[in-house]
Amino acid sequence: MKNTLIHTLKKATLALSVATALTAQALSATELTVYTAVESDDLQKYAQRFNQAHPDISVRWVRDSTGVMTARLLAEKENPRADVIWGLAATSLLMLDAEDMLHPYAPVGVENLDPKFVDQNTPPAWVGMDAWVAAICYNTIEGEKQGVPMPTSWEDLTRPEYQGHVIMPNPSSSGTGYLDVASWIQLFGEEKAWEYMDGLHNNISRYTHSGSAPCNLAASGEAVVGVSFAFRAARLKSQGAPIEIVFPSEGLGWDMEAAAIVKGTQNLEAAQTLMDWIVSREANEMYNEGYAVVAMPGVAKPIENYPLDIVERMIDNDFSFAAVNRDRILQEWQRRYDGKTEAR
Amino acid sequence: MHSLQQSSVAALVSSAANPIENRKKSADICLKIEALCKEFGDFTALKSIDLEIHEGEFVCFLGPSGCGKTTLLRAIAGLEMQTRGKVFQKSKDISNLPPQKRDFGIVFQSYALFPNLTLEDNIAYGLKNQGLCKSAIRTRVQELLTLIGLEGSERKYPAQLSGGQQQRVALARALATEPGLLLLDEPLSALDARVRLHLRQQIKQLQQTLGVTTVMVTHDQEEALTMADRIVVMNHGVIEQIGTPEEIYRQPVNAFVAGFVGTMNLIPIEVESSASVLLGKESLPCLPHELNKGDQASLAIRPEEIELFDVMPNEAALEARVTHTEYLGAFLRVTCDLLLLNQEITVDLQHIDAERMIVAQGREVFLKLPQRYCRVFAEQVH
Amino acid sequence: MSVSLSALKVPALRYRFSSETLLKLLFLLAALALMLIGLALPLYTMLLKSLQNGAGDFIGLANYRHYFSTPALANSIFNSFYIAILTMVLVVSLAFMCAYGITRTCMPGKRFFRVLTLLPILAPSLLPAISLVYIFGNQGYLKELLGGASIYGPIGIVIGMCFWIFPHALMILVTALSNSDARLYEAAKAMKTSAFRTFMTVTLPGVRYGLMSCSFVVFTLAITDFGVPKVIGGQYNLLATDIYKQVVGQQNFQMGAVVSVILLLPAVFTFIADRWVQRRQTSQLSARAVPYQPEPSRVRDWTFALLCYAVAGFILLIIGTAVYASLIQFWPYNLSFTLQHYRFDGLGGNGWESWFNSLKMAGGVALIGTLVIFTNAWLVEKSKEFPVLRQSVHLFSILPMAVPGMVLGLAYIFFFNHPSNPLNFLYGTLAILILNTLIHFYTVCHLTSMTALKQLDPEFESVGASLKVPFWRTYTRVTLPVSLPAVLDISVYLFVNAMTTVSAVVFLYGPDTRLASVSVLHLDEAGYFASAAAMAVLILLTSMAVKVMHAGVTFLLLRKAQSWRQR
Repeated sequence: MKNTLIHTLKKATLALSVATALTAQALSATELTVYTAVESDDLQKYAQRFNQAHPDISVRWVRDSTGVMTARLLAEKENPRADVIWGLAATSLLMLDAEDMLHPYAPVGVENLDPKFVDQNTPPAWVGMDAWVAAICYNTIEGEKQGVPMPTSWEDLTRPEYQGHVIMPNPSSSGTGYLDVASWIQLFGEEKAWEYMDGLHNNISRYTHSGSAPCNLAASGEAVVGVSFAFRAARLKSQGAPIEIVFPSEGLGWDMEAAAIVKGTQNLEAAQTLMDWIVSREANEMYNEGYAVVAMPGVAKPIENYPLDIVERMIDNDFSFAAVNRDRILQEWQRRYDGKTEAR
Repeated sequence: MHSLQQSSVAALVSSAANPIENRKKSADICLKIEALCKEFGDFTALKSIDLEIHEGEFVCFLGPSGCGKTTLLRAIAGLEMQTRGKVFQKSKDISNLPPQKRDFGIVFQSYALFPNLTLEDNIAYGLKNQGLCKSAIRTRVQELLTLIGLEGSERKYPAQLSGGQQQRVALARALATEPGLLLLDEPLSALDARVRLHLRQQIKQLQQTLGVTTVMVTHDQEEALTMADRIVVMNHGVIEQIGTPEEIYRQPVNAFVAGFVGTMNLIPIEVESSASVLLGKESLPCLPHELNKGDQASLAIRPEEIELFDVMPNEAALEARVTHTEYLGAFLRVTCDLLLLNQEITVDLQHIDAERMIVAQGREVFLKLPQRYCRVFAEQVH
Repeated sequence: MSVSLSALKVPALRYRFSSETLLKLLFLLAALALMLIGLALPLYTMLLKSLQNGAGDFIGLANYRHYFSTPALANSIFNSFYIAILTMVLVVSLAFMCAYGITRTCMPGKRFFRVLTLLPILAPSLLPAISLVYIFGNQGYLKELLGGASIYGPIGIVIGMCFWIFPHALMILVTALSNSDARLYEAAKAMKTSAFRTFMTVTLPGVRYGLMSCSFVVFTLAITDFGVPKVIGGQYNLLATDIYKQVVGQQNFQMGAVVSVILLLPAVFTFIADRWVQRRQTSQLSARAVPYQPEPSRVRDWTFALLCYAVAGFILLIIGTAVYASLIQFWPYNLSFTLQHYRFDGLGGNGWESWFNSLKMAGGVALIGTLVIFTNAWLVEKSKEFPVLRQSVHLFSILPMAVPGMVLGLAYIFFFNHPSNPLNFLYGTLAILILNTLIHFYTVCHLTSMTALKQLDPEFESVGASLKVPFWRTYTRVTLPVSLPAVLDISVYLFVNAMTTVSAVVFLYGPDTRLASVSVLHLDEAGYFASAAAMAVLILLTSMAVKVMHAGVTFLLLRKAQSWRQR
């Protein structure tokens, strides 16, 4: 206990001196404001790895959930404050591109990426990084205790025994939440999908602001079933949380994390340098530390807690459908399910 | 208590009267006020005040609370800005100057000593700003402390002093910069009776020694009569009378001054001629006045000016019945009803006179109102 | 602006402008400008925004029509009132009983209890909500007490609010109950009045204004609070959380503005009612009243003692749980102790940065705020010139209390983020956070300053002027030193509130200026509950440290000033 304390204190002091060093460095370096929805655990790692290659460019992160980040970028359209977007849902980037907010650029080495992970236009407006896949977190201990069986499919979640035990993210604010909704619509067809969500809504105990919260809540036993995404689920499981990761049988919704330069940036050169690194092999290897599917073919190694056949189980996602209909779908969703109270 | 004070006023006035007569009246004008008005919203605190104060003079503003005396003092200080009118100090127009640019020291009822500063720092407060060197300041502070009889207390804080001592420090602080004008705003009102009496003399003495022109505001007539060279009696924002204490006491110009300073019987009468009035149906000779025949007016006479007899005197006298007597040491205060018109009247009997007469409740007595004391005033309008 | 001009005109004609008068005028104009920029203009911009569509065209009340025709949104009005009234009833009755115990009985451990009840104020309102999850959540260790009901929703919100609003209510009621006149009780006793009747005819009427004022404060705090419902509200929508959802979750600024205006109304209403009550309350007690001294009574004393101890126990339970939660490896499956949550992994590396930001911000608010607020109050109270200008500064100083934090924060976005606003550069900086927090907590400090200044001799300034000492010297040499205890109170109040506030700043932090309290929110949002608890505990400890320092400094100051303070 005492040792840990000293250890932590040492670390804190270290962090402090690092912070001071970084600030000192920032004075001489170009600073890029980077908007992201990448999981916060990884942000520091991303910046550090990039700085190993390019110490002269410092990254100033602005992070929030996918929905919030997207809305913020749209709100700042007239007065953009970001230089680069690094790690935002491709669906969102498609929307931003439609608003003509991205600066097309073909990073050096972009040809090495799987063409599916690169914008079709030349030069591409955005490039993909990795796929981020829906998953269900199921708390085994609580499931047994409360007699809630492990689900195997999306359909299972509408069964009565799950009533009040399911938590999922709010698609308005969370990218994970939106990819779930978008994938159900693509899997079941629009009408069936809303029917499904009506049924699911009855079992939901609450909608959370962020996509990782449902899995966190399932891991700590606050909920039995949390609709979340594979990255968070795998990480929690390897941290020892009593959860089982369920990849529903109907297919997995997914979205691509992607990067782009924001039109109007004052630091175009540095932004391009960052983009070049973002598509590099080194970067892709880094993405693979958390994500099973990455943009550069041949890089991905299987990672713990992910099924080997994950690529086959991902649905054939129509990003443009998800992007074009985002507003409409979210409005419909809000109309139906926002304000859980009166539905009960 | 109150009546005791009031009646002793007569004695005070006669003793204070003489030195004033001797004072030179031709001194330079220190302060001149011209048509000064002050309005607070709809309320008029001062209505066109004109006043001249001479160099070295001690002037008291006397009046009931709300009469405007404090407002007038604050206007002189620049603490209150007049609505109209002008103020001149030594023929310099200071009407629009802020207090900092005027030349005065001021003492307040609340002392307003700075509680976190020692006596020395309090007294030196204004000196430090004059660019004096440290030793000069120290010397001056010592001088002042000696003057107010508090030598050796320079390290003390105000809270460690009695009220009277604090007020003396406030006085020293105000005098430290040798102002051309000293303003005292009810400086004695917060003190208890004995301290007040003592400090009254001290202030007067100090003022005479230093010869500083002083204006004091008070509602206490005794204070005004004993301390002032001239009294300015105010009421409802106007000056009722300006005069020496004796003039104010003996020759009030109207019913208000007559009633406010000392005790005065004010008896309703009807004017009969320029030198007589009708008290009920009885004709009574009085001091000459300018009222018209038939006017309703007041006859003003002080209790000690009335002659009382327990048997019918030879001359014409008014019949009255004693309703109440009050023993006040040096004299007896007799309250009686004038049988003629059922009017209450107060008479002061000297101790000696009281002893040789039988004046008791219910007894019939006879009153003589000497013509030379029978002042006639129009009824007060405000 | 017309106000200040007309205020200028009258004295300008009559005073020959001395440098001092000019300086005062500049200060007053600066104070007014601060209020315009920090309060009036942002609120005005927000009001306009609620009448515009997304593209910025004026559309009248269309947004409001849309709001009231959307049941999910309009329902929040009912919910907010329901929660606020329920909280009000609970907190006021509980606080009244405890305050009665403190002032009217001889219960043991009064001092200890009073110190303990200060603790909730020192923590962000997110802390009780996080603790409640650990206590009554699905894995809560006292979950059974709820009998199957869910803590996520009204129950949790009300309990959480009671926790952090209780101290505010207690302070008001202790003050109200302390202002008693023992002679009335002696008279009642002499007439052989029963205890109950004495209570109904003497005690209650004596504190009725205190009770009303207290109810208003509790109601306002409850209806505007954001931290508790955000964490534990589940799907139970309230006005304050709706603003956040509309603005942060969906970036629907117009609807955020509409909800803000709706939330502003009850707050303004209770504010006006409270001012009215306060005005009547003055001069209720004659200066000659003799304070009531309770006599021991075993049964009564111990009844109240037990009640107060129960309250204290609950406060300790909540705080203890937060501390415990921050030290547990993985609740509820791995209960070993660890300090790893204090590394704040969920914040992307440098989690302590937000704490340093908070320190900087709170320090800045305490330092700048105290100086600005006290100086402005002094100008209002102690100068003679420019009466209209001073009155308007005073009025503006009292208004912030009526503006909920969420509303003020959102108003700042509209005003400062407008591309054509020359103050645009402030957006996202520490400066805007300081300005916002300063204005948000302005009123209480202003009123405290005014009370302290009114206790000073009104003639200090006149004496200074007569001695030709410039006014700022009298201010720094006399007024400030004499008012130092009040000044310190204000600075600590500002520091603690700046440290704990979430509502306004949640809209205003920038990438480099995220605050500790906002981090608690984000950590909780992302599901890092232990780290959220750790950050909340860190804030609590910081506030406690500052409070202890304040107590120490005040003690030393008073001892040093003993020589001149005692009468």
